[in-house]
Parts: sequence; structure tokens; C-alpha cells
Amino acid sequence: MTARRDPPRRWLDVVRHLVPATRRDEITGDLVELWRLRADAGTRFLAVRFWRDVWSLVPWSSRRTPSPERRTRFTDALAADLRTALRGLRSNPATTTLAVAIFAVTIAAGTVTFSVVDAVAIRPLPYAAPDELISAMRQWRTSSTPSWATPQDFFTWQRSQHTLAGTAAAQRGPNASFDVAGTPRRAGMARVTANLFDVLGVHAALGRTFVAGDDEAGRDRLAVLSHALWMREFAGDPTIVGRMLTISTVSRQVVGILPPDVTFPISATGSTDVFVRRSQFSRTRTSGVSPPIAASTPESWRSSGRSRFSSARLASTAR
Amino acid sequence: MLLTLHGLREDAYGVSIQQVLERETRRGVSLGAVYAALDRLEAKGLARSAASPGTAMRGGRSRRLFALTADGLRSLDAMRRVRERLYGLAGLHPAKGRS
Repeated sequence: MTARRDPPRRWLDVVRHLVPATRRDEITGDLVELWRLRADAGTRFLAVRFWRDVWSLVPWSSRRTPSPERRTRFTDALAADLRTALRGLRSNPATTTLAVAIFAVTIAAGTVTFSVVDAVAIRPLPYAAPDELISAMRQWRTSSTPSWATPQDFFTWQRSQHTLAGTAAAQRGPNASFDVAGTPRRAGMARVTANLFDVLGVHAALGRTFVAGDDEAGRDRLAVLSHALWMREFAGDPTIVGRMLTISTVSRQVVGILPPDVTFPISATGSTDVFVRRSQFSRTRTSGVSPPIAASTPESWRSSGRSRFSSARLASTAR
Repeated sequence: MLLTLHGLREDAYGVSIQQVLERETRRGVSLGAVYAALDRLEAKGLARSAASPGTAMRGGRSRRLFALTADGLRSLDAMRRVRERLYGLAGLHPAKGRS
């Protein structure tokens, strides 16, 4: 079989796109000359050798720094484009306003989305051992989507489990209303079991959190405040601990302030700043308890292989 | 590379340099490697280049001819002297005919 005298024109067209415009003619000339020299010498696999040479040009071509002339052309073109864009914006204020508004909305949406993702998925949970916490949700056999548990579910699970070190729950809302120096204020409120902060491994920054005895009747008019609320509404006044505060028409004693950034449940819709005790749980069937959380002792959890809740099948997710 | 440029005189361009290097080193030398080395020499001011008319062997396409600058010649001379001193230090003489 006779070797081709020249590389196919289409191959050379490919090369022309790979190399700097200022060197196209010289480089394709070199490749053609090499091909002919090899063909004359009876070298085999001309195509393989051709493409090996072309491949060797790629890193060289990509590393080549632009010449001063090319840089100047680029910056001139960029400046001209910017001037044209500015002239266009100035000549059409309505479109400009719309474009700026769209930019503002999309930037705000991006910022909010990142804030939520950061709080929920990126930033570590502000608890002592977040990898040992489990949130439990209810799942019906007929549904693929888990739903929040009801207070009754939680109390049933709490009585029947033998594997976890502790179980606790919280229920959001309604918001707390209270007065600060005669000015009405509102804040997100959660009703929690007395052992919630023990299960989370959170200690108060000031005062104390709830203790086991606080579940008893007659000792339920207590409140724990978030650090953010304490700083925002009470200017970090340490004497707030021990004072009585009328929260949603009920007079409660503030027993402690949480450390900065600690809250529960973590919600994208608003922060929880006031915590009152579990006896305030709504007992209705339809009222959800935001995922009951449980602290596991890792050894027993692993050895058991599965949770020993005797009630309905649970979809448990560890965070 | 400097020696190859010097040896090829007025006929130093991509293909001729690649052919000499392959023949003398008995190893495959890619065109990309030759261009990269020539670019570096130009950037350091040791070589200069200019386009020249094409030949029939290249289908009429132009060539970029390279030549050593005065700095390139001085650098070549300095390298030769260093090499000779090192050989002398080792009690050897540089091989003749190859460099």
C-alpha cells in the first residue's frame, strides 16, 4: 500500500483550530513537511506519528502567553464592550431598572438559599456530640414520606425504647409575646421536655437550663432564653436570670441563658428564642412535635443493630 | 538546543531542529517540545525568530527561522567553558565530535 503524500486536509483544519492564529501557517507547514519526510523514508504509522505531534502541541499552545499586541486588543475590546453596554443602559432607563431589580432579587435569593444551606447542612450543629443525635419521624406503611410525630407518638416511643441514652422533644409556636420596658415584643417560642438540653449536651451560658424536677406540676412556670434574644432585648443584662417575665400572659421565671448560636429546633422560617417546659405541649393528635431527638450511646446503638421501638416502624435519621 | 540552532545556521526551524535532535539523541522528539524550548529561548533573549517564505516541500507554507542572538552566543560560550572546567576537574577531556 502506498502512503499518502500529504496528511488529509481535514486533519490540518483541526490543527489550525488548536494552535495560535499567528503560527498556523508555520505549524501546519512543519507538520506537512514532517509527514513527507517520513513518507519518503518509508516510516510506518504516519497517521499515529502525525497525531502524536499534534497532541504534543496542545500543552505548548495552551501555555503560550498572549503577546503584548493580543493583550492590547483584548483590553481595548473589553473597554469598548463596557462603553457600549453603559450607553445602552443609560438610553433605556426602564430596562436598566428592571435588570437591576432582577439582579437584586436573584442575589437576595442566592444569599438566603446559602444561609439556609449553611445553617442546615454545612455548619456543624452547636451541640456536644451531634453525631450521636438521632431525629425520629413517623412513617406509615402506605406512604413513602415520613411525617413529624405527634406528642402521643413521642410519649409512646419514650416509654418503649430501651436502646437510647435519652429522648427529648420540642414543639414550635405560637410566638411568645412579652414587654420590655413597656414596649411589646415577640419572639419564636418552643415547648420542650425538661431533659432537652441534657440530651443535646448544652449547658447554660448563664444560670441553668431545665432539670428533671422541672417536669413536676407546680414548677412549670420557667423559661430559658436564647443568647440572641438576651443580647437583643435585654442588652446582655445578667440580672435577667431569676426575674419574672410575663410571656404570653403567663408569668414565668427566667432560669437561664443559652450559649451563643445554640437553638432548637433549627428552622429556616425563624429562630426559637424562648423555651418553656413540656407540660405546655399541645395534646391534640394533629399537632406535630418537631422531630423528637434522641441521644444514643454509640456502643449499644451499634450492637443492637436497630432501634427497639415497639411501636410503629420509624424512619430514623442521624444528623 | 543552543548548539543545534548554532549548527543549523540559517536553516534552523521547527522541523530541521526536531530532525537533528532525533538523529543525534536517538530519541523521539515531539514538535511541541521543540516549540516550547524555542519559545523559552526567545523569551530569555537568547534566540530570535522571523517568518520566511515557504518551500515546495511544505506546500508553500511559511517557516519560522530561528537564530542565536549575541546573548545566546555568549551563553553558549559560557556553558562550554563551565563544561570544560568540570571535565578538567574530573581529570577527563570533553568528548570530541559530540556535545
